[in-house]
Amino acid sequence: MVLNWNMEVIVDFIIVALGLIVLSISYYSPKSKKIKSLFFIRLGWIFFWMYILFDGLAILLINEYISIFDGLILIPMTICITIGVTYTIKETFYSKGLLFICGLSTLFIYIGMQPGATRIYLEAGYLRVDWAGSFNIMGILFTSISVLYLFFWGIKTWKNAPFLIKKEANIFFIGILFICPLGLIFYVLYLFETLLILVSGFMTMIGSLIFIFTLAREPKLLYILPFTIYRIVVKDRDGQPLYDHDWSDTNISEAIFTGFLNAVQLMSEEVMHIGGLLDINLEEGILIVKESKNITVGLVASKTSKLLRDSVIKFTDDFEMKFERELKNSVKDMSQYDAAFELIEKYFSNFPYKVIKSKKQPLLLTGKYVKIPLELENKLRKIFPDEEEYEAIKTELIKSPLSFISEFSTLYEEFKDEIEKISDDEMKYLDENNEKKKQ
Amino acid sequence: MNPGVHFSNLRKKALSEEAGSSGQLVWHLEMLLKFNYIKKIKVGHYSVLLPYELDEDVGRILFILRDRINNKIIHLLIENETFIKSEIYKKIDEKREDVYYRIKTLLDYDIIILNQDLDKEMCINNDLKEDIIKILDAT
Repeated sequence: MVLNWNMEVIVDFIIVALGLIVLSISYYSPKSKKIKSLFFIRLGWIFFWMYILFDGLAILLINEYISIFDGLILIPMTICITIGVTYTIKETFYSKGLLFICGLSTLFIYIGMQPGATRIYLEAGYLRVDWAGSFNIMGILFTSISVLYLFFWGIKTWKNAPFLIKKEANIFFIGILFICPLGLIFYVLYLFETLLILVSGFMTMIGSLIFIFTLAREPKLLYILPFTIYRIVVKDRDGQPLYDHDWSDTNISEAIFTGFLNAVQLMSEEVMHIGGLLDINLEEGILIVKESKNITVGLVASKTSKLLRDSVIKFTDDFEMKFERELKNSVKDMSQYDAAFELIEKYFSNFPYKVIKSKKQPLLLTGKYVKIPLELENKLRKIFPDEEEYEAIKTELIKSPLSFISEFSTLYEEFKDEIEKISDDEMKYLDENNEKKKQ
Repeated sequence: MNPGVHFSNLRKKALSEEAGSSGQLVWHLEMLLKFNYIKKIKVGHYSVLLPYELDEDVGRILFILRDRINNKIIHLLIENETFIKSEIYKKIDEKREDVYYRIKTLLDYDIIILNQDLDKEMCINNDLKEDIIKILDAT
């Protein structure tokens, strides 16, 4: 059997190979894999690469049946992508677009079963197997719908990407632009000039390469959801905070937040039994409160989501199990619950941090919980009377070498003595030259 | 750039431009010293701060030349090779006691020396002359 190798087949196979890389990155990189929206988008991508693969195979083997089968793969591909994108945005499978596609699918299958759905012809020096007539138009329509949905998803992802991964999101969006609208435009133009299918293939290939590059650098791009989570607080039955974690700057102090949570809990005791979950609509977001045997967990997000609620439930159950001993002994020390960060990583690792909003923002670890000896604290407070400045220095303490404090103290005293020793006249004598030059 | 700046001057400049306390300034200076971005030398009562790579002798000259009258004296001695001590203050049009005070400092740090043949004449230390000219050209 003679294989019909040509440029189009090679481009198709390269796209499929790149697609497999994207697929493996999207599957192995996230810690929590059970995200429905992503499952459908990934399934859609699989069908897309199957479609490209069978397109290449149909031409390679000059087989019309494979070409029809290839066209019909567009149906599950479009359905999956539509569901995935709709679910990402609305957390529901159903949409008018899906109904339209399902209706259109019946027609597409019917046309595909009719004689003359495909044709074999010589183009640019090689044999092509291609869809013909209405089947071809329907194929292009289905491809366009799914690519446009993907484009819409790309825009959403790019728009919602937090500052920390914005650079990668920009590159990712360039990749999307190569696939759609560029790839799509050439794909539609192929109706008029067959060779443009090659250009469309190249555009898709370049887009896929950029796609892989950005996903390899920042897999979280796949999980950017159209909402923001701000903060989670765990408190015990007495209302004492045990764990506090921020994703975004909420400007709500820990005391106010815990107090609010206590008030909510008191008010809702009648409607909330142990194990219960409550969504409270706030002015600029939603508070999800989960009550369990020993703790209450409160999570603030920009809008409610089933995925978030599930994550809160699982987080609460695991927190109870992980800190069973501490909770039984009524341990109030927040540092004893620091290990809960592992649970944050387990259940919320897909949610990007939005604490940093611009590159001008100072990047400091919080010094809020740093405990320093009383003697040292008094000394530092004398040197830094301003509370904000003192807190900033405490923040710096976290990352300073151990000997730093004593060296700093010595230097401070040395400079202090120096200022006292030097008379004003001498100071003036040394400053004059520069001042004059500036003038 | 201000190599050879001393702490009091730095404090005045830094804290007038940015909000913050002396403590914060010292904190950051200690960080820079700790991680070898800058070094500190003593010139008289002054703690002088220099970029880590800068030679200490050059740093000392830089600090001394920051003073206007010192600068004038050095310029005079470069232009004239030697000059009688008692004539310098007249030539640069400054108070006698101010000039004598500085000549003493310059002699203490061997930036200028007394001429071996003519005791009352001053000249720039030949060992440092090249560095001094470079510094003056750069500033």
